[in-house]
Amino acid sequence: MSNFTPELLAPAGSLDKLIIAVLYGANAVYLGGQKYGLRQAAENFTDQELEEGVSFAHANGAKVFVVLNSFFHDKDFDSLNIFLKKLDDYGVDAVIVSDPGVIKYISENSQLEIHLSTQASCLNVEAAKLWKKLGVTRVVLGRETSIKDAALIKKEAGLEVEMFIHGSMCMAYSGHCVISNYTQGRDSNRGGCAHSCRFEYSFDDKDLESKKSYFMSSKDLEGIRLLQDFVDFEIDSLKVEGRMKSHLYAGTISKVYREALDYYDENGDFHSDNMKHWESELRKITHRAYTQASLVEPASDDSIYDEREHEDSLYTSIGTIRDVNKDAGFLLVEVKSFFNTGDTLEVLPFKGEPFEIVASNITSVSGKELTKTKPGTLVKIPYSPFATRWNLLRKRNLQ
Amino acid sequence: MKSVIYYEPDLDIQEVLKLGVSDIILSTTFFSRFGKLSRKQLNEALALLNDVEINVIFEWDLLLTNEDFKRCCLEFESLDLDRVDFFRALDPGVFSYLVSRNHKVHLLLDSGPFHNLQAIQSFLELGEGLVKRIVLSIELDQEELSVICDELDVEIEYLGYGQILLFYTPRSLVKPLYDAESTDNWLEVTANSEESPHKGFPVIENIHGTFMFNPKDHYVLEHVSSLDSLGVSHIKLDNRFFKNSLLASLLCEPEQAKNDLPRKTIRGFFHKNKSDALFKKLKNHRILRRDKNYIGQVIEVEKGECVGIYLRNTLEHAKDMNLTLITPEGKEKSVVVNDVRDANGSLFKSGKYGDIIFIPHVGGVSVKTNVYYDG
Repeated sequence: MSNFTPELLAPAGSLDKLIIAVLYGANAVYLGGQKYGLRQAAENFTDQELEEGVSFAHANGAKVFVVLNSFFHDKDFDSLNIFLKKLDDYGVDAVIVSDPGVIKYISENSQLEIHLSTQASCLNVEAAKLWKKLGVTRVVLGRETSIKDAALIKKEAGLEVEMFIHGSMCMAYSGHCVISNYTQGRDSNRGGCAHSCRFEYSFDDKDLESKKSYFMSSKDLEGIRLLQDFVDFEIDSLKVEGRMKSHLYAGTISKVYREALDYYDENGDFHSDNMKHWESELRKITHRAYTQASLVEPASDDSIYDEREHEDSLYTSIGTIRDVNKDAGFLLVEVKSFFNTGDTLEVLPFKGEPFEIVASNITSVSGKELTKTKPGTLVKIPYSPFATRWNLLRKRNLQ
Repeated sequence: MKSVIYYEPDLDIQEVLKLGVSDIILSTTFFSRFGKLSRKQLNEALALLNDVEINVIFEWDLLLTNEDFKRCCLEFESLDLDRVDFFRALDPGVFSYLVSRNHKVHLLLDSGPFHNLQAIQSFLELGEGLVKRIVLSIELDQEELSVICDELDVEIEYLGYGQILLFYTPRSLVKPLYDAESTDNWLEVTANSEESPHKGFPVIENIHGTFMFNPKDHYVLEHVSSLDSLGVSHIKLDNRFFKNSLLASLLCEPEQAKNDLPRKTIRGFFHKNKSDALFKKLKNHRILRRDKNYIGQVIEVEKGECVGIYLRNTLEHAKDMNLTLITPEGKEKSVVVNDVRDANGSLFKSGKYGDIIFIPHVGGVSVKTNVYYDG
């Protein structure tokens, strides 16, 4: 048995999601400020939120990496220095960067540790060595890299390696898709990706006249069954995609992979009935069909998600427990999706099995009886001794 | 302005020389994304060009996983490339490999994502004096081109006419569209997105993956004199995608030649790149907090009863507070609050991040309203 356990790195699209990811077991989170990232439409972090996020994560033993992974034009360097100074002051653990110009600038203007973003599509030993010369200490490898190749890159380049283990995937080599630039006037490499690869396409050719296909859309990555390989090959960090995704996604992913890695720490393997349980938990969050993509062999035809985007999932995210009051006998719930009086809800604890509670009685904050809830409200439901603040609630969908 | 074209077996080299073409690129099936030269044809081309006064460039524009990289290196080392003057690379690993073998390099940034001076300078430093030319990104506008050309002491190449590559994946995406299995190593289709009005995207699948191009090609040949004055030294014509018979008119009469081209053309971002201008419209900036005096965000509004505020800051004295509330629509409300309670209805004195407080109902306020402390 190896003593090595990889870092679990979760997405934090907002301060709430950061808190949830950390409480559910992430060793580290990555997030974006208001500029320089690739999610211009996301809420992202203000400077103060960033400071608060770092403070919360560090207090809970987790690291914070900040993405500066857009590809800069020269004018984009304006005010970067001010932001870097803040990141240094807040104690950010590393920045994730794609652009060699930005790497150079950061190396010359701060003490920040630099990780190379997957956007740079680092795929081979020679490339990794080059990025090391520029000053990066870790490479987030391109999604086309296998676990075996990642281990070789780590050994021969002498760098930490980080790999995506879960989440949505670009079909293109990251950083090498500019469809949005030309069709929408939005630079995909500066955060304006319009997800044109997820649309349906028809074809003019004779043999394909009646054919329509989502031929550029990729299935989602799921690497849980390959955890043993990630450990054996000593991949330093396992990254989950999804800064734009829900609180339930951030919590579930962090919890499932944490439990699996903790199980390994205790038992030295992943071969248990728990694997089925972990997989079934990952199917309870909204996702496209899963693939292992190129983690073992180059991704084949069956990695194409030839379907329209849809929100089918086994469970609905109901909301977050925002307060627990034992004396007054209620849980205060921030409602994300509606539920009715009498519904059975599942609470996702930070550790251990999900458990059911019944919303036998729902009241508004002021105490008015409700028969059903509305998204975007706070309601009270009966107290449960095992539920705590920031626990997530979900409900099984009728099949 | 010097011109760069691709070698094609049916090209009349003497005619090409008469047109003043200075550089010719060898684009092979094994090393180039859209190359069609076999090893035999490569050797024939090298032999043919042996006594010709022209720069010979070997193109290696693949992105490569480690396994493929090793395979390519083995093949590369087995070739006799003495006649080649320059080697061009896209993958930083290939770039590094070529530099380590003391080859003179052209760095390919035309379809890649690096667009700033510092990025290019980083590669020049890593290139140890062997980087002789930068093939600049077509996403750079003329103002940016000017700045970069001014600062660099190497040759600069820019795409004059050619297809615009939008998408590059190693995965096979076209073959699976066909019901019958295909053994063809080069498939071409034209795709139309349901995202109107985007139609007519040329798509190629070959042994290196799948590539999608813009329906309109990049054409700036009528601006050659401007490019020249900006400092661009070489202009490339990607004749792999049009008939060689067009070369003469493209190089000599670019305005007129435009009428004979197989597809419509655009200048792309040459005049101005404003592809970040829409970003500020992608989200509601009113719901973004201003950090100064920020307390938190409205998380609940119960009409006639209360407003719930999710504290996202420390609140030391939750009594007699002057608050400003800014709604997602941008409306501002100023209120004095004397009565602050927790979810249980008890008086609330002070709180920290994550607590939820309740104040009496304020008309016109909705969820996601930001709350600021004014004293």
